[in-house]
Amino acid sequence: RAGMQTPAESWGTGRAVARIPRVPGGGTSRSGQAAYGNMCRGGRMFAPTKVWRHWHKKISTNQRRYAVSSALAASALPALVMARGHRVNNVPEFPLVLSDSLNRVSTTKAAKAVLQQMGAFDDVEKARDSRKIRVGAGKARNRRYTQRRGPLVIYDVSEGLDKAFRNLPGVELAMVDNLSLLDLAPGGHLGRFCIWTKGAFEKLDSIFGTYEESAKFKSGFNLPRSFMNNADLTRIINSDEVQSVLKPMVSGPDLVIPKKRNPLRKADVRVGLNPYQAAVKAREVTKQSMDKAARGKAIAAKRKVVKGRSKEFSARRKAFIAAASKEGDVTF
Amino acid sequence: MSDALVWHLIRDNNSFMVKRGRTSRCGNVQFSSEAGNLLNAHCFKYSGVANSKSVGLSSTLALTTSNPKAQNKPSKATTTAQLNHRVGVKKLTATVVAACASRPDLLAAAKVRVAKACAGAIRANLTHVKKSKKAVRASRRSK
Repeated sequence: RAGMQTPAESWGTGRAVARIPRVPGGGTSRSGQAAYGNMCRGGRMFAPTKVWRHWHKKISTNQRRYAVSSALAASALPALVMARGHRVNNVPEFPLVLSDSLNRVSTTKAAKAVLQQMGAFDDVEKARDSRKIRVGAGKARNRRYTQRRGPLVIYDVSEGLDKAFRNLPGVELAMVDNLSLLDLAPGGHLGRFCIWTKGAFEKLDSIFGTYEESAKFKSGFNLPRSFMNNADLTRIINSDEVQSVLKPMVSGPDLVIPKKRNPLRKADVRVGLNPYQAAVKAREVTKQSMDKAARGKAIAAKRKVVKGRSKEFSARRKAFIAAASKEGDVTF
Repeated sequence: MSDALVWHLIRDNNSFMVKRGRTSRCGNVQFSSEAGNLLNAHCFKYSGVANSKSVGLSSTLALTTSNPKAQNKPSKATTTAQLNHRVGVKKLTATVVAACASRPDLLAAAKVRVAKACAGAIRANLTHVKKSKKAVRASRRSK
């Protein structure tokens, strides 16, 4: 009904305006304005959301219980709890089960002391420090702050426990009889940090049953069995039973790409590419090792050879020219 | 609980996963920020969360080794030893190699990490030394 509370009608064509329905009447700035469309100012939204949307999805009871069992199992693994983001590095043992005297803790001060003693306060501090004003419009819709989730204290009987723990930032309480997946796996992520009382922990066997007997308080429910009894893949692969029936490993050709060696820097590589380099090098070496006198002699000897050759060539040239001039003109 | 199983539960999503460089046109690099990871890589081999036996070395030369027997006792599961960069890279490498006794597949990464962390620590401490000399000189001048 929002945006539809005008008897707006389209003016049709021929009036040099868009064909969107317009508010009739006069005497007010609203008259003639576009109405109804999702693009119009003051119009209704596209596909107005209805209250009768199918909000609640059914899920079978067994599936729901399966999920809760899995979430509880995950909360017993420090790796998963740490991966979820809880600060549990100083917790002495997993699962953390405290004596029933925890039920009688009645002041928040005492509750805080207990958590500090059990190394669980780091998680509470994490939640407290994460308190921020929500991003988005939710901050103006009574959802002002967001913060991380801290430990979940699970008890069976409270003699003051719930009032003591409820004001600690991030700490949530749950009775063991009605554990909710929303608390055990917030956001769908397994591994909430759970703090149990002894009574609550012992009650689990009767609520969910064991592998030997069905659940007492959930008729027809049996604990989910694991898909693999032994999930340690590394051990299975390396076991004698598996290794003994494997075919021998086929290793491919050992491709050895030799390291490139620069011929400009490595003499042996250069000689391999240019065998004459050895002679050049030898000549240089003799040249270097010669003293001044010897060098003078070598240069003089070289000069002699060159001079001799040049004499020979000039003689050949002269002979050719003489013969050619004697020959005279050549006709073809 | 099996390391492989834990890894498969956390490999898609966990609080230590760090993704950088994602744009609409390309993917990203994935790192993992837990303490027991020698490469800070998001993979099973180097994961300090999924593996019962893990080794880690921080940039401040804090060596963390895990105790596979105390997996469900987080306060006792990891031992942290603060190494001193002044001892020298060779000795530090020996310490770290000894820590990797149960994880020989991490040796190569461990050696690289020790070298880099040590170099970084030396560089960091050099500036500190320079400052103190300056302070000494300043105090002498004021006298």
